[in-house]
Amino acid sequence: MLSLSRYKIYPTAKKIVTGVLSTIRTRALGSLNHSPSVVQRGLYRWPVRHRLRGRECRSGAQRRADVPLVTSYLHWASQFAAVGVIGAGGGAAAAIATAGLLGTRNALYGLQMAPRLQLRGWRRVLAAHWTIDESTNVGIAQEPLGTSVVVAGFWLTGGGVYLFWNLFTLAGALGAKSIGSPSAWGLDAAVPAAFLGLLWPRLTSRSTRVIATSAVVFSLIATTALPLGTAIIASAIVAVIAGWRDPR
Amino acid sequence: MLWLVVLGTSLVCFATKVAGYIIPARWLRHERVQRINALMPIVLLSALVAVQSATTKTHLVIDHRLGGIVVALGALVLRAPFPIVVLSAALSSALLVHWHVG
Repeated sequence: MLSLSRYKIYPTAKKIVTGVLSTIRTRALGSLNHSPSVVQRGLYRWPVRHRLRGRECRSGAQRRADVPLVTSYLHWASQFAAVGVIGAGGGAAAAIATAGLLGTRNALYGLQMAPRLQLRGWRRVLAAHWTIDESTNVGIAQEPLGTSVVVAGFWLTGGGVYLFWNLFTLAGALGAKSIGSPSAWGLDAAVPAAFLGLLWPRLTSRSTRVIATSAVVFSLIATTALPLGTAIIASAIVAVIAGWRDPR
Repeated sequence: MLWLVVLGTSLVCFATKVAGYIIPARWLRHERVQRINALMPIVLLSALVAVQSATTKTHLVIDHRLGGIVVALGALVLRAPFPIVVLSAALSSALLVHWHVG
């Protein structure tokens, strides 16, 4: 068991931030059958490695522990899929393909956000990094209030999710044992309920309600029929079919 | 192997996101793309709700989460604000867990 005092890894605010950032998704990874010790090591080792930079000191276990840290910076929900596939005994190609498919919706989100944000340079890279379900949906939902509110909604949500995901991942990693199961706090129901809350205002017509119902049925069938983690992105075909023809 | 997965997934996912921003805007002006794009969030959010509340890995499951979603649905029908919807779902789901129902 590693302790904070043993390594004294958070002596400055900067290192706290570093540690927080490095733990994105460690809790998610932990919940997907990674051993808690690997997750906890993932939480602590990265700052430690910074201190030991340049020294050949990384054991195999440490190298494994680095995985959550790197994944944390570059993908969001796709991590669940990649880890899920590996956890279920899948190969590297299957894991990458599944995660990639799950991430394709972000390109569509980017397509929607690009003309609204009108960015260049590093801001565009940051916007791409923060382009997720939440930021895009909240942003576009502000459309009736004007472009500036759309932009504010996107950045606030993207940054807010980024910050709080990390904070609560840290809290989860540190306090997972005392909290116990996320189910006991209703957290596993809160997430789909939040998605339902985002979906609800979009169901403004009979056709959108039919399409949403079709997507629910399709995704449930796809879950049982397709490889792990591909049901949601496979459901995109419902939008393609429904939107292919001009309804007029 | 794990590093290959990590680096491969990171590269693919980040490239996908950046691609969304650098693809020419005129592609968006295509009517069919616009229609499909507008339906995409409805479809994906519906799929997310269904998969996250009624499945585990590749199985259909009826448990406490679905109870929470039903309560959230009721809250939405009653025009409750977003935080109430989420909290009521979490609370009812947690109660089902504590009562060992779900």
